[in-house]
Amino acid sequence: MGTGNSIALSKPGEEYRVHYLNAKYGIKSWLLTTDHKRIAWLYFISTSFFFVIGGLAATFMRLNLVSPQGALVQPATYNKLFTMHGTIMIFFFLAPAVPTVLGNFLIPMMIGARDVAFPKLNLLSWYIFITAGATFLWCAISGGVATGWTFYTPLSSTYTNTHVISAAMAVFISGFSSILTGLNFIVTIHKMRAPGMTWFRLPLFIWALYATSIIFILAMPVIAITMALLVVERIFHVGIFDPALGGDPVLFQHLFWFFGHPEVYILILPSLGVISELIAAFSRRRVFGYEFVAFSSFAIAFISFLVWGHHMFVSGQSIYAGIFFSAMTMAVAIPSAVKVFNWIATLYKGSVALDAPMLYALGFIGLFTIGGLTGLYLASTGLDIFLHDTYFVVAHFHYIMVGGAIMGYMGGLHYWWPKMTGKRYPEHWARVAALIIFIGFNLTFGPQFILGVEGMPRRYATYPPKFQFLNIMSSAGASILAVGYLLPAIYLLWSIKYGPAAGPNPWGAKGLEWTTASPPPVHNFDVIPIVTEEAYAYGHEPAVVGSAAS
Amino acid sequence: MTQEAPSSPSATAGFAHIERKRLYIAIWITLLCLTALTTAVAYVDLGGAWNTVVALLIAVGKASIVVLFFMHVRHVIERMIRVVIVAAIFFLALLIIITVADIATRGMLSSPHWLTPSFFLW
Ligand SMILES: [Cu+2]
Repeated sequence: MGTGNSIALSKPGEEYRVHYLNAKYGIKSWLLTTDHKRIAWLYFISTSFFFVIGGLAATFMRLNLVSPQGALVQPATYNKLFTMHGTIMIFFFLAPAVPTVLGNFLIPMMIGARDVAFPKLNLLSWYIFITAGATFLWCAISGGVATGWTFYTPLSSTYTNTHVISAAMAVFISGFSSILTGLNFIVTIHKMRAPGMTWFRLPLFIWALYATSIIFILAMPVIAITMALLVVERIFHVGIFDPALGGDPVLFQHLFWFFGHPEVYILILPSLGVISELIAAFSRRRVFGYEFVAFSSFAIAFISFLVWGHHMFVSGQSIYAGIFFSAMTMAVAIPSAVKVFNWIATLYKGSVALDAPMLYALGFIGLFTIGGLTGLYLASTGLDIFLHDTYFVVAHFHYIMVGGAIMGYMGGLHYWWPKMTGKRYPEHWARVAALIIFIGFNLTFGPQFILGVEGMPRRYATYPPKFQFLNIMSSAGASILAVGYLLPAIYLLWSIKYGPAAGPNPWGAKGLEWTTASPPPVHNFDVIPIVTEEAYAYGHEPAVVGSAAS
Repeated sequence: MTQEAPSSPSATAGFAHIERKRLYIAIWITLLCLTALTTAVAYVDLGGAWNTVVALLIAVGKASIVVLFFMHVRHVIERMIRVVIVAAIFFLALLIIITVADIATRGMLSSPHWLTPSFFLW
């Protein structure tokens, strides 16, 4: 890495250069910032905090499942643990993580802008997010909620005596944060692109976030209103979902999953975008079939609004609706496969470098494919009756959420870490951590596929003794996975202080974000760049003319 | 942000502002009246499905007024904003139509007799 040389050269320059991290100091300069890069850090700290809380809940669950009778907690507590795990991971970690951390930091940098379109609104989104998160923590502290993250009626509206209202309000509030973020991103991508940055020169990460933002705006209002209706029914006994009051419990499932399935794509689409960036950068090739990869994000976003009933095959839903939802779900496989095949075609004859971000990307492709294909099992109405609410479902969506979304987030975090901090992380440790995460992940969730097929239902604190071996295997894998997550937490923090200086473009990658200094100046670019080339123009002259690279 | 811009609020602009205020108050009163109407109708049994039909008609009317006036959709000419409005209505329609389609066909549990094997095997 030529550290000695670069330090000798950079010391005088690096020390005195003003950038977004050292331009201002003090808590106020962070909590009142409108700089998209600093807001990204606010989100990074808060979502990481929620990841730890959600992870702790999962730890207790896995510990409990070591013994068939439940090794640790009462069944009622177990119900609260999985509700806390699901709600926090989905609403307060996975949904915001990639868009608000990497997206906030990178959208203006990638399109050659000085900030997002509405910087104050951006900060407001974070405060709303924090309010929502605090509301949920308050719910957890005051006794928790035991409905599962899906809040199904009539359990949530009538039968449970846990704290449904504060949990529902937390989800309600968090929706507005996402709506504002989505709005901000869409306007930014439309209006703030640098001269020459045409739509088909945009990095695929931007296309993916654009599609995600549309889902934010279309799906989040529906969950907000559904949670509001739930609260109204619980407090005022207005008949909406409770049959005793003239309501329909399946209506709740319709409303919830109209949001809920697109939500899955809110979680995975940004990571799909990250993977496109990583594959291009570490195989030194333009992404094969750029247009197809870009439009497949929109195809996924659109179809995601037509598949929600695949969560309701055993709810008493009409069999004709079931047929429709099953067919539509099969159709999502097409744009998803378009992405996977195009990534593999990009790797073909590329000069592949196996740095840590690329290890995450390659891991992602395999795990996402397993997650996607097992989704087709569940989309088949007949098979789903057998597999519904078993550990097969749990394994399936964790392959998408953890094996997909989090792997993409980790890969992106490592890839852009030098840009965000100006420091390099220790590459060998990062490779080891990526490997540990991959192994730990498969050990945790692989056995759950078998448990599901053998008939172990999800969301139970106890189980028949014959399932113990695979459960212990899963818990052991989870502890390896935890080590895998702990390592990056340590070495990334270490690198902020002790890592070698990264320089503007440590990966030799294309893209406007790599043409400016690391960490970037307060307004990203000293001179607004003029774009003259396609995205990922590897093997050509530099992508940008007229930008002052550091 | 732009509301208090003291640069040049000309006489006509001020007039338009007052006009708009009156319009908004008129719409607000209309909405209140329609709410009262909904409540009143709820006490009258119109027979069968008509209770729901009338309630929904009033609700759609209120929603339209809000969208057209309060959300300024009445004056929108920019193409991009029209696209957004149409898309929003489209996705709302998807939610309602597919949900209603489920409820409407839930009872049809058996196939029509000409689709069953016994029809062909007699
Ligand atoms: Cu789904």
